[in-house]
Amino acid sequence: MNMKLSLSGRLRSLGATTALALILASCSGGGGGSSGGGFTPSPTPTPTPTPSSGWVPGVFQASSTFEDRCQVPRTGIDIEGNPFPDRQGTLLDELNWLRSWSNETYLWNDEILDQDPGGFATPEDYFAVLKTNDVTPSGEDKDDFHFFEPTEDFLEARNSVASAGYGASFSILNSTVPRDVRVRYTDPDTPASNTNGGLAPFLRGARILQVDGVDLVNDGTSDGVDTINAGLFPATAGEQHTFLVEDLGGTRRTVTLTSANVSRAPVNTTAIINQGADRVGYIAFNTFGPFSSEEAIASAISEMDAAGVSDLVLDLRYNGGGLLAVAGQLGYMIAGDAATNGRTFELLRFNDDAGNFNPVTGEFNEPIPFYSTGVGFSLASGTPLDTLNLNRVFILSTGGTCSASEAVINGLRGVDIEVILIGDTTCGKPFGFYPTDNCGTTWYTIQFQGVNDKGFGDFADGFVPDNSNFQFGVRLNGCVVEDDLAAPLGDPNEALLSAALQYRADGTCPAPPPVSVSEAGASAESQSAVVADTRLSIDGVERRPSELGRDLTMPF
Amino acid sequence: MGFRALLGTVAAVMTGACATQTPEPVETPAVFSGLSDEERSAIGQAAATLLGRNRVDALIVEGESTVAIRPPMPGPFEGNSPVRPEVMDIIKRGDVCVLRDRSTGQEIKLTSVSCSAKSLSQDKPAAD
Repeated sequence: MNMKLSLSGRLRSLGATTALALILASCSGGGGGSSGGGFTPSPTPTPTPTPSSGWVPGVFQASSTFEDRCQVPRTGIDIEGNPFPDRQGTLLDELNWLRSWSNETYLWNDEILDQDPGGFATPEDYFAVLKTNDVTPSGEDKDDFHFFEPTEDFLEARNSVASAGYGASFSILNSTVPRDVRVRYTDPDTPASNTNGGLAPFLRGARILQVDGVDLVNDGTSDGVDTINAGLFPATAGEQHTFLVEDLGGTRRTVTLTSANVSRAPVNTTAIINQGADRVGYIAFNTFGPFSSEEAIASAISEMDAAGVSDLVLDLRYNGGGLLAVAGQLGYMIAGDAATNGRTFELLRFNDDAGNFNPVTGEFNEPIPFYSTGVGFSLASGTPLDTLNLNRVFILSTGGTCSASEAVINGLRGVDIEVILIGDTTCGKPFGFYPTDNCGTTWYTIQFQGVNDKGFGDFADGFVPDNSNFQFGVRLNGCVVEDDLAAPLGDPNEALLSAALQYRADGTCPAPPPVSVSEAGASAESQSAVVADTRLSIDGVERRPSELGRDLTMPF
Repeated sequence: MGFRALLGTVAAVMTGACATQTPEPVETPAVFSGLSDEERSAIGQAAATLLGRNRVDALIVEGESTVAIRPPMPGPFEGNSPVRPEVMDIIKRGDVCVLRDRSTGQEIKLTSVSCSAKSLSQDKPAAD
């Protein structure tokens, strides 16, 4: 899958409002952030009154009445082999479908101001107002995650297990001149990490200085930016590009990589750390997204179990979520049977009209349990899972710790397992949706909130380490520590892991600011400016998640 | 109802039961082994037929008595995805292998694939 789309193609799909937002973002000079959420179309419809819309305030026909009735029906089959269900309809049919579907499935359907669809010129304009305008306690929009994309793009993305690349994740500390792009991590057995008898081409923390001879830091030309993007984010497998990199410590190397179709490794690193007489387990778990995550995290836990660890440091700093069932399995494997038997990992809470049923699927709303066996993503259904039987877990976090990762935190807290949070405030996404196609557009509207065994799920302002200055969110024991690109993941000297070990030893947090890239001799800006999980066009407007599993994170 | 009537009813039920008492084939959980690509494809096609779909993504692990039908992969923005595979049990009934949808109880015979009864000590190979 080519995650980097052309500007024109992307803007066609998202509309002028989005285009403006992107251009402003590109001119802001910062790298953006992962916590902002994303694209929320501005609620400024273009009025084109059509009194004959038949709108009756507060009266809704079933969405099935209008479903698949399209101004321009698609014909043929989609890339998954399914025939398009479209029939000839009208703009008003599409608008009425959005109105009824939102009323049936939107989590806060009673906070939508019912407006005449006849006053809107496009489905996109109408969709923009079919949401709540309430805010969280911190003042953020309560619904930051209301967006859409062409169904063609949605299907392409979910059918692309592997995509062209090197197996490297970059942190873009500064996207404008003087740019600062670092290697955040590499996946094992990829072009970025294969050593071929020497150093791996890309090492965590290394700064990219040149791409195919173009100065990444200072080149301000359009051609230069195109070259940089083409090199950092190859469109196809088999492309060869040359980079000048500066490793931590200042050594410069020229490396040449050939792109390949690579998949993100769910488990990046594991380690067993001796602390006194104890063995502490460490797992860098980067995504719940692909089906292989089930087998990968089960295998990592088995490794910890075999080593006899008495504590676990679970590194979710780059984990944007994915499959809730795998999150439930992970909760079980950490806490064990006695703590979780018969308890709910997460219940999906829908709107008040839904009762005990899921308004999207129509099925009874069964809680998600702490699964004690494989469920069939990549482990055979019924395969018993190993357990660590811990009564606490250390979780490493950043603003990129989202969704299913937060569900693990919340689910464990629901059965009184202590979660000690080391790093930064998590992104605060207890919400989810079922992407739904109608007439060629896939719509994302918040349809559920995950709550734990105690019925708690109000963490829209994130989970917060207790010594943070942030006034909102759900506070957990732990320490604020900046991400540390100066040491490999799993290294006991890496700042977050080191802080976890310190807290484990004596219950204290690191007093001075922890080591950061800038203190390690590189010229990083603020770590807070890191754009997590994005492929962005340097100076441009193409910015996309580079890895699967980012729920409720905007396309840009 | 009088005693005679009750007796008659009981007798009728017993007679009926005897009349339909033909030996049922023994039904046991079963496993696949040594599957060829064609046999894997046939299992997947049978599962698709059972579910009324054109095709499915089936996780077939030799030595295990279930087949999991994986849902579509979540998209990049689905960080809280509640999807879960559907599970089908592999059943050996007499000489016939059957897939049974655990949620609906519906079955389909596998005509071109053989299976064997699962033994209690069956090893569990890694997922493919």
